[in-house]
Amino acid sequence: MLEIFEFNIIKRAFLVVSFIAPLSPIFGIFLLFRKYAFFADTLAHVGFLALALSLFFKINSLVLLILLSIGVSISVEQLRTKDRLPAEGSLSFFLYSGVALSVVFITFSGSTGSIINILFGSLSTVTKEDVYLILSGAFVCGVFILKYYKKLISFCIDEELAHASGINVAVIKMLFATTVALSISISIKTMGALLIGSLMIIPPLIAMHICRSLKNTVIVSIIISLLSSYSGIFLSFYSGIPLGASISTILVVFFVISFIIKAFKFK
Amino acid sequence: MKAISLTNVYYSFDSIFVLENINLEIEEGCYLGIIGPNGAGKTTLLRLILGIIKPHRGQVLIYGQNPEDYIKSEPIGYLPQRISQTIYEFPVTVEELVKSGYEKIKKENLDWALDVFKISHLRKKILRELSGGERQKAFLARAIASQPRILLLDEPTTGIDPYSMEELLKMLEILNRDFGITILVVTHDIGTFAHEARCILCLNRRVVCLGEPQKILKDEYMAMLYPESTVFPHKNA
Repeated sequence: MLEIFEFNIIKRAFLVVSFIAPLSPIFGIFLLFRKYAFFADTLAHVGFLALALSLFFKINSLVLLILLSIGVSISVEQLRTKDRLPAEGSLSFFLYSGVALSVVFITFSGSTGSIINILFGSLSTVTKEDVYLILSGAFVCGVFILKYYKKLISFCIDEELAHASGINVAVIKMLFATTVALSISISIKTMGALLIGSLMIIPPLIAMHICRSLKNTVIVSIIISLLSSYSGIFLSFYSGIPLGASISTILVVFFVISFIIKAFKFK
Repeated sequence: MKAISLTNVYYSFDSIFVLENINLEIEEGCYLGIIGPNGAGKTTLLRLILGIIKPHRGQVLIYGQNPEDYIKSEPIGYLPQRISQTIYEFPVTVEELVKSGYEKIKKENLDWALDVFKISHLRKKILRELSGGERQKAFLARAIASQPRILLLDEPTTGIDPYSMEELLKMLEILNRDFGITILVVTHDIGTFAHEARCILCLNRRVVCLGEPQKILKDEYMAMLYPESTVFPHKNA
């Protein structure tokens, strides 16, 4: 079983998920708090566009992915705050634009075979160079969460309450939009554009189901995310299922188990 | 000492004035009830004081500072009219709610805030498991946990039963009398606050009148404040 660790791509996969797995559910909790879970999907589809563009122009996909995701994330917040457009509307606009343009660029790039990797993630797509970018991105997101955790909670509960507590809501909003985009960008190659949302949203849902405090919800979400990611690598390696799909499937199993446990607990 | 002052304040929304020529000076330790019909600008007034919105003309000062500058150094206790229901979907405990928003909060401040509203025994309870009145007390405890000098409450008695309301009023009275906190309460519940507030501000886009409840809550003023009404709410007082 341990021969799996002889492969560099597996070592890289373990290293990368060790950093993205704890971050994704924390951002997921904040997105759920803000009724913004759809945000993850939109950014993931914009990520799909970035990867399609990188195939077409043959440029570094991760840098483009990060820049495009951050640009869209800030634009959505601006449209919501300044132009008062409904959040779902502007998110849908970017989601469908992302998908439509991705298909156009992938078709013209002649690399339609890469679509599965882009959509569902892969053990092999993360290059050595990507690892440095992913770890740097994870470091930035991690520092942001540690520094602003309490302010983020307050901001997510109610923006006006946060303002009255002396929190600069406009700054937090922009930093949050930027780091959410960054965390999604650095996770897309592993999880895939279609499935990154599952690592952000399903662990908090499971934790919310069984925990009796926000602190425990965060801790349990991180543990579930790490467990499913590590076991997902094994599943992907031995079964050939794309990595994102493996991790998501394990999360779905955890979700069902949490319901069964709770059902027995209250019987 | 002036806690809050508004000088010649105008605020418009989509080029319609919501507040016009507001001149107010609120002394430290005042307990002010703000009444007026729907759309009178009561909530807007609180949001101007908090610095969430800026006046289009005029000046708002908190202890001589702009609200944005004041709030950086000292939080203002605030209870908004509506709070997103999403918080009840999460397992947020009373203690976590009270602590939220404060970078560092001393344990004695937390205990004091919970004690004032008599919810210490609920500190580990999840918000969604509480009654409407208990939730309101939890949010009020959050508002006072930093021991602010100013407390702004936007319709704090909405959705709570008469017993909880009476308890809440007693607690606000204690905060004002014993701790010297300046309290501004926006309310439609004139009958209840007529006995509690030391001063009543009648607002209908402009300051209609301002003074002690027994002087203000008279038919002539109420007719000015609610010109289309024939039944005045102060009659329940």
